[in-house]
Amino acid sequence: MVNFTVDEIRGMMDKKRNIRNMSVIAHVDHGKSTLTDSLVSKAGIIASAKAGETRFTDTRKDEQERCITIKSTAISMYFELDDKDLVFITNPDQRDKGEKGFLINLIDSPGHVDFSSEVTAALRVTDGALVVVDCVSGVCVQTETVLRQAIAERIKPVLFMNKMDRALLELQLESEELYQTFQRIVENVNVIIATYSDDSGPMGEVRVDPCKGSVGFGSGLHGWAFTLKQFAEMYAEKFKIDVVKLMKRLWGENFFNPTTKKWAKQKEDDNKRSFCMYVLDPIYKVFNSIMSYKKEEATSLLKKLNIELKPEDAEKDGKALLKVVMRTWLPAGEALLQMIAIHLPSPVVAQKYRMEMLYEGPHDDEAALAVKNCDPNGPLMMYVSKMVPTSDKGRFYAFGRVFSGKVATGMKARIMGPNYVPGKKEDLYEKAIQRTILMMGRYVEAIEDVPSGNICGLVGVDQFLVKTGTITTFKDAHNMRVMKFSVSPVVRVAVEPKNPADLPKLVEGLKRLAKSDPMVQCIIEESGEHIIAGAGELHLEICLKDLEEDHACIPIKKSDPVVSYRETVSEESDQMCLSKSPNKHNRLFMKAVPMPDGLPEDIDNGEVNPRDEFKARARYLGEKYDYDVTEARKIWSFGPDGTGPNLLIDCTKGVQYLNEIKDSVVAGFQWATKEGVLSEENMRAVRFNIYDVTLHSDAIHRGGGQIIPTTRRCLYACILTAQPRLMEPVYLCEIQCPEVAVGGIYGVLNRRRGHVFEEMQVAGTPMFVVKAYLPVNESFGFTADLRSNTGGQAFPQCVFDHWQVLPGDPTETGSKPFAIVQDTRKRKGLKEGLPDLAQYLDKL
Amino acid sequence: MYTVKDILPSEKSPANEVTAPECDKSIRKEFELERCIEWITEKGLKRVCVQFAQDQIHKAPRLVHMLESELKQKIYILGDTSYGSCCVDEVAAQHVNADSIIHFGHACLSPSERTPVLYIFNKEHIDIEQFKMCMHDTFTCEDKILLLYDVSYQHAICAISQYLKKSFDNLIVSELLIDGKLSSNFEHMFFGRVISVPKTKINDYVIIFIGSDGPCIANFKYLFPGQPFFRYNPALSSFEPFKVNISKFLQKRMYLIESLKNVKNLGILIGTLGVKSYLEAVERIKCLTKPREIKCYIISVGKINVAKLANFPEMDAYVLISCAENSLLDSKEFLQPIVTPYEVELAFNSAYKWSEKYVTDFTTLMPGCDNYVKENNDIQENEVNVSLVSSNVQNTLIESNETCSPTSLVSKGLDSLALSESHGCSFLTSRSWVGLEQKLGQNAVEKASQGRSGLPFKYENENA
Repeated sequence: MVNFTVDEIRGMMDKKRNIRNMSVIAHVDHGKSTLTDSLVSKAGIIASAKAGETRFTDTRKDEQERCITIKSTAISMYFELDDKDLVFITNPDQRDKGEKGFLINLIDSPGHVDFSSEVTAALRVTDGALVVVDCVSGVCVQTETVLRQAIAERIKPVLFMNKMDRALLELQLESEELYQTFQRIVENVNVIIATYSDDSGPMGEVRVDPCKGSVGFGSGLHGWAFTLKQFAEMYAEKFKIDVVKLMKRLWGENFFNPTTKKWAKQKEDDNKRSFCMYVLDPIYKVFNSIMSYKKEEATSLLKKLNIELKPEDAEKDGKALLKVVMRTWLPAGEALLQMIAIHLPSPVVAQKYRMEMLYEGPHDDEAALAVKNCDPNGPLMMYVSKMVPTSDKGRFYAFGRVFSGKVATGMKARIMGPNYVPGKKEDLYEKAIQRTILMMGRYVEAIEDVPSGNICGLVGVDQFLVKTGTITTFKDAHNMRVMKFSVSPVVRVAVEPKNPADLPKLVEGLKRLAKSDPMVQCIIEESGEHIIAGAGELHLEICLKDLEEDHACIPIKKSDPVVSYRETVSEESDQMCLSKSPNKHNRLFMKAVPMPDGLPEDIDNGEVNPRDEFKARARYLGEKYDYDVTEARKIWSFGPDGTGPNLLIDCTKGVQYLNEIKDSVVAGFQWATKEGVLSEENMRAVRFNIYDVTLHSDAIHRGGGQIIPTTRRCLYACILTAQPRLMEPVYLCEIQCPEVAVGGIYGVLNRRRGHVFEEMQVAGTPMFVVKAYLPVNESFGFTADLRSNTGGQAFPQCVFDHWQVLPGDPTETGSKPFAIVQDTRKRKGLKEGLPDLAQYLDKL
Repeated sequence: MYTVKDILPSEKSPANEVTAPECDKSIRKEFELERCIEWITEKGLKRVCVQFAQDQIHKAPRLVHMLESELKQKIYILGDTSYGSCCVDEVAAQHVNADSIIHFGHACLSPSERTPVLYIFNKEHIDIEQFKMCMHDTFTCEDKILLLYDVSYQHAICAISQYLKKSFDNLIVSELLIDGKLSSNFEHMFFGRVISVPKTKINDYVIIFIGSDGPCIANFKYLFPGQPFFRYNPALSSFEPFKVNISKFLQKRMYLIESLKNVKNLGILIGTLGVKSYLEAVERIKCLTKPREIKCYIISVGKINVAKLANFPEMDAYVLISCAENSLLDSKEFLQPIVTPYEVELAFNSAYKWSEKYVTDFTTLMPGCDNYVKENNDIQENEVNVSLVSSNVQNTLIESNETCSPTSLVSKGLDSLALSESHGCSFLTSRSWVGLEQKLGQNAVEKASQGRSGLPFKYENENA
């Protein structure tokens, strides 16, 4: 039975110091959902015997079938902590005086890199993270990625070593070996943490430490876990040492000599590492006795450990008995709860240092202060991080975190999308919130209102937001900062309905899909292609399945996956390009130049952006990229979309009426950078210089109609005379495998134009990590190919990394880029061949 | 507009002179001079205009000369039609208070309202015997066949129909609606063609179209996408199934419909002044867009080109109101998308159900016509408002946040009031250049001097 009611939860929501918002993050297949079951069963939501098998937070059918988490799932739970444990909470902001209960809002997230946008969305609304590491495979690629993201969002981590059962049963590791493994994982994790944060930062000490109890060990599958605290408590009386002190003794270079009863700092012949002796040995003994079916030995051991079994459980033997015994002795839920309650921050603590990362507005306005203080009486500030489909087709719960104020059923609030600018009306709606609800994994509970520091869902705001947004009652509030995803939607498929009459259903389905996934992009291109863009093949596969079965419900034809390319230049234009307006009265003189390495990425990352103060930006460009400062001050525009990685720079001197045509030239530039000349793909890394302009002296003859199309023609001429090139997206691919498989990896990568740039052994394991760059276009079927060439031992994780120039001249018939350009043109329904320079270039 | 005397001298090239009698003869035949004369004298018309397709206009002076000499009255040539030359240019004719127009060449047969029109079509050769044979090879006598044809085969249709009706029992031959009204309720009109089949039965027929590929046959294909459709190519004397990638076409139009849903300023582009009910169409579009707070601007620029339309960068899209044959304009080269009135219906009339058929003839979308659906302005609860073009929230039918007219005052900041921004002027505020630069204090004071005068084409004080 569920051991709490919604009313109880609502009561706890006001005790903001006793709330813990946390996400469970890890590499794929390290056992997040399985481990989460332990907590869910402790809360009484599922039977404890079923914990570890149910994967309660994997709510979708395909998640259960494939044994992989696809969507992050939230669940709110109520627990009470024992008095003896409460003393470990020393910070007054971590616990209300006299309150034993804790409200834990947990989000279980997917581990596969293709779904890491779900992790990003989960991290944003939580303050702490339970980082799960499979102690057999150690710290993996995705562990590092999610941990890095967590630190960047100022999320405090605790560590859990999972799958100890495998280490003991399958690998049969000696206790010292196992300790070394643990030690290495802790070290690896702390190295990553140290790389992205420092202890003097606003979060304080972030590193994890077994001595403090912020590292857990156990097996999610078998439902048992412990921290050093549990064992220290067992021995504290015996040794007459304080629990906290004992915890420190139980880890690291501490050795105990049982004959002399002396502690030592070094390994000697007759002493033993305390962790092995006092923590691992008892566990090993239990395992050995039960798994070798020594019934008597087991029974006496159980007595010693004070484990009482239910009569029906005592009948069991082998693995089943082992599970029951371990689960009774070291219940996972208890250890996890203590880790969470003691070591993860409450909203009150976390929001103090998270506010400046979260809020775009001035850090001293009403909203900022309310967020900082997690003030339930301040103005409402809520961030919606994702949309969760409801049973009602086409409608969604807006899922998010209340950072300040209170959100209530029926209240009127301002709903601000990511494009909202304070003082403007765009992307702003003032609407009533129809209902507030509590997300409980597979079901939801209605709730009257939700105060600051909590996670909840809203009904009735989904229509006004695409995927994310800010909800507030404060008229002058700025947006909460948008989330930065670690993956990009670079793989695309075109879909069309089998029956053309179903087209509107497809469009509606695409819209629903776009809402339901934080990352996917659904677009209709000008060519009429209906495109779904995702992070990788698996992501797309899931999206297509959802589209066909849930969102559109019609039979769909899909194209092979394709990637989008970028058009760029490799040299400066070999001549001054002149284009005349249709009335021949206006002339534009321009050239295209490739950007220096690094600048396009700087623009992508917002280091250089159109909102910068122009003098500071010019100085930056001058110092870092050797740009002429006077020219760099006259950047007219970024494009496409006003923010893209192409620049239009005014290099003219003393041209009359120039300011008057600026808007028209910029419009033409936006147009041209969006649809490049080769195959109408976006342009990238091109700087356009305007050198001279002659204009008709009569304003009517230099209007937009004359200038906009002419600018576009001139920019196209610039590109065609500057050795145009194509750029393709490239994955950073990390592959973990045993040494024997490394050869196979090289073979596969070579065939797919990939190249390895790093290969190293994971210390203390026979595993190798190979890092390589792999063009996204060559990555289709890569996973399967790799598996078949390495006997299923290598598993790649691919993340979009950068754009790379595709060697070869796209204007040269027979080259690879030429073929790609032709394919793209054909797909888009453009005329085959290449556009002729004479179309764009005029003679003086 | 020109009269004969304006043009004739330049047209009198020696080459024409030599073959003049022969030329006269062919013109007389080609343009059915006798029929024209008969029509004019019979109706007692006084001010007649003649209109030619662009490629035929050079023959106009000769023809008019002949007409004038036979009728002893002045005939006017309509040159440089503002819109497609397939439409009858009534407005131009009104400049001379014309009481009738003779239209030569290809015509779209869009119904016009004001002036009586005589259509003289161009004539393409068709081998009737060959056609009959092909018909027999391809179809059986019982097949239900609907025969359509390009206007240039009208001269032969009488003979064809007479013969075919004997051997094909269920053949329906369409008639061109060139004068007057529909004769009975039994008949229906599509793109100026009268088809005497009950509307619900049309789906049973196989459609045959005689003529070349072009907008006319495409319009029929879009209107009846699911039906077997054959084109008879008189040049090759063969039937071929007429296939258009409907799916591709509809997907492309879907892009336009989706982008239309984000529009804040919509330019209503007048592409015809002749087609009946074009003004109603303007009203209809205004009425559909108003609840969505879209501001409409009526723009008439004559023949459309890129430069003209790019003069209004504040428009987010244009809707083109023109005759069926000119309505599908490839907007690739244009700065803004150009859509059709049908797409406006699909985008903004939530009651309009999408089907495979695509209506290019806007007149049928007007109240009381075949494709009219009354709009339903209820808020659609289950609509997902993500734009698939911009990936932003879509402009939908939601009650406005603050009810204020474009001229109402809104408070701005603590102690100031300002006019609330309407769509058009909010564009202006985003422009970086807002008007003449004063450069106060930077220029020396000068006396005002005489400016320029004349046409920009060539000012009076300009030499070039």
